[in-house]
Amino acid sequence: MLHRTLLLIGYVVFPLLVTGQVALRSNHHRPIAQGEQHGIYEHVYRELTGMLEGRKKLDFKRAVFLSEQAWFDGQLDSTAFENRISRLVNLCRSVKESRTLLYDGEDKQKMATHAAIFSVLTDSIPMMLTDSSTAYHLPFLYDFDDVWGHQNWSQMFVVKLLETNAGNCHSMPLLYKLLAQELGTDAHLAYAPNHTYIKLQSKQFGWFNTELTSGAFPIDAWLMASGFVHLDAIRNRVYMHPLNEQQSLALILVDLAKGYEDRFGFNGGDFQLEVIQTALQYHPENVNALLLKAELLRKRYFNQIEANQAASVSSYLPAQATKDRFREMEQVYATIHRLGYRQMPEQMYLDWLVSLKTEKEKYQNKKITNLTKPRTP
Amino acid sequence: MRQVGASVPPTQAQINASAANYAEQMRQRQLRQNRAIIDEAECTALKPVIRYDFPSHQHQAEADRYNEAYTEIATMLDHGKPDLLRANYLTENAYHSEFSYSDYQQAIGDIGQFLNEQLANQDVENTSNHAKNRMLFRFFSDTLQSADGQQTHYPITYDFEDYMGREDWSNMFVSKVLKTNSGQCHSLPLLYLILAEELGADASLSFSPAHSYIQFQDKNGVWVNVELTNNMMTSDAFILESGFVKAEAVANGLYMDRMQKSDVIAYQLYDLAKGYMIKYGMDKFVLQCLDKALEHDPNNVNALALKSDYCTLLLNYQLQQIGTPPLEVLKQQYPRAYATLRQRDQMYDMMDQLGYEYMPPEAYEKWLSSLNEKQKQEESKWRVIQLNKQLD
Repeated sequence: MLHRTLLLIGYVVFPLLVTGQVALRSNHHRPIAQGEQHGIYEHVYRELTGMLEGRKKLDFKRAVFLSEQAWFDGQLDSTAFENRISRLVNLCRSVKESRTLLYDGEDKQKMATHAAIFSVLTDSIPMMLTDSSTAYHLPFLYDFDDVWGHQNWSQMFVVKLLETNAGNCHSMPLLYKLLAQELGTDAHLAYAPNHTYIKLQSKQFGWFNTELTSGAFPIDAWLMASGFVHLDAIRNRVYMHPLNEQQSLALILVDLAKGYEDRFGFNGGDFQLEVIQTALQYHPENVNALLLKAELLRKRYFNQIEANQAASVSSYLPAQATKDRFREMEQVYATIHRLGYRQMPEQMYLDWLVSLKTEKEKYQNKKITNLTKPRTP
Repeated sequence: MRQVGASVPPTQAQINASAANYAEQMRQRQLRQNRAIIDEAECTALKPVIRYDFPSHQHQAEADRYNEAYTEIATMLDHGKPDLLRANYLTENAYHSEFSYSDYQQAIGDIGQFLNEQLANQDVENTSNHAKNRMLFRFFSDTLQSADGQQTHYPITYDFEDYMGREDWSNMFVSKVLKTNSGQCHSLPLLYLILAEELGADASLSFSPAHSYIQFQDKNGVWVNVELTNNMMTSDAFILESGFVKAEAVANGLYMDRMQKSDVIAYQLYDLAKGYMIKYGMDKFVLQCLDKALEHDPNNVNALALKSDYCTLLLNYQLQQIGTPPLEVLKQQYPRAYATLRQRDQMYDMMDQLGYEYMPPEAYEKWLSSLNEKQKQEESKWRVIQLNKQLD
């Protein structure tokens, strides 16, 4: 249950917040050559690798922006993005300062920050403006349309979430994490089948789950009861494991590879495979990376067969190449299965997602509340 | 050569003055000494002696049995020679000595013989691992008659009365099951394992919150859960439904892990510690048992939880004597107590990191009784049928 708090913001003005419409894509789309488009992907990949290797400062917000920027051919308006983020960050700060979280642990400040981020993402917040009128910050909603980005890959993006105020289980946790970074605290992404969510650690509750799509704190049993979480996947830390900073960047690399494939198609698979390999280097159990790798190898394998049919049938080398490609692909599928991954049909996923709201009694962590009281100035 | 008489001899007055001065010095010195003694006495009077360890119970009657049990079980662990029957006997016998080890071996041997006879006489396949496990399951859940009709064994029941051993700790014992044909989630799985060794069957112990159960592999290598409190074959989902199993706990092997034989021996050291604590009270022996257990099985959730309790109680014991000063004062003036505080906090942090969450008895009871739901009963029956089919 979330209280609505009236914020007294004397000095911060939120001119555009009422409509929530901020143009993040610049109005002029200048056409660029395919070579240049590919070049942008290369550049972003190098930036992210730099962060992973510690040569560049690890900035999750920048990593997210860059990976989306690549898909937009470098034409996202970074200033608008920064502005939107900093307005949200300021709002989180104001929300935190205007109230006291009813929580007794030693890490009260950290939990208050998280409570503020949670409120900003999932609740309406009335604010008093300088001219004494009231404006409302509206919560971000779940967009049930095209949840896997099959029609439009940018459905998965944080910029799309910011622009339309609606996102999905991919973009919303990313926004949470980058806001947490800006506010100087940590938040962990975690995987579940076809899903990402936020995991936090509190002195009072230990590890707990934050589900932004339905604004709740489900107990682990809900995530494990989806029916597609094999216990081995839990044992192997494939699902429900809080990702560290490098593993989070690996997640962004997977996004980059998928975005590239969406823009240019298979295209031989070299770039995607290189990106995925780097991701797996830092997160070997990243099942999404493994799935993408298996798919790429499978395409390569079938391409090889086609090439064989075109070439002479009697020569030995093509047959060996085919065998190798098959074995390579088989190994990845075997690893995926051994880790405990089981494929989940899309409709079942949506049913499961909704079940958290409909069966809140059963799955809500009753100890965690976002209860606050207004802070008296 | 000095001339005698070169210095002027002292006058009588001078001698008197010197004597008086000396006396005064002596008196002053005595005063100082007295003051020092008084100061020291006052100091110790202000700071009473703090006992940083629990009072030892080692002098109590029969405590020696515990020491001997510890030595023998620790040797099993250190030399890699697990003997569950012996370890279990030592643990229970230390609490109260009712019968000899050879009597215990005899009792278990008799059951083993009975079961082997049952196996030999059954129509279906009877030598594979899952056939033996099925026989064990039948021992707990079925009525069985010996070939000559002289012996009837009835299903082993769940003891609702004192399933936590609060009335009598020995209600948790394997020997209690042998005497009364009823037990609970601690004693029944242990008996299963002991009998599995008799039959040469492979089965593993697993923990879940406030609970233990058995797992074994069927003909296809698929792991099956055996819930002996209700003689059912349960799903992993049932265990997760307890609501107190965190993903971290599973990933860290606290729950639902298939324990090795040595892990079960280490668990017996936990049982030994707990029995000692209940019989006499907390002292260093308890910690010694737990540390040895954790040395060989670092993720034994029960040992970790009890050690966490130990640190909590030790800190409370120390603070009761000190009073509860602010943290800075504790750090400066009572460093040993401060170290206990740090140790307690470290245990709590570790438990949190491992994914441990305390399950209250009411929640446990509710979860266990959910086994009576019709759907679960039906699912269990189906699983048992599948297992039976594998023997054809």
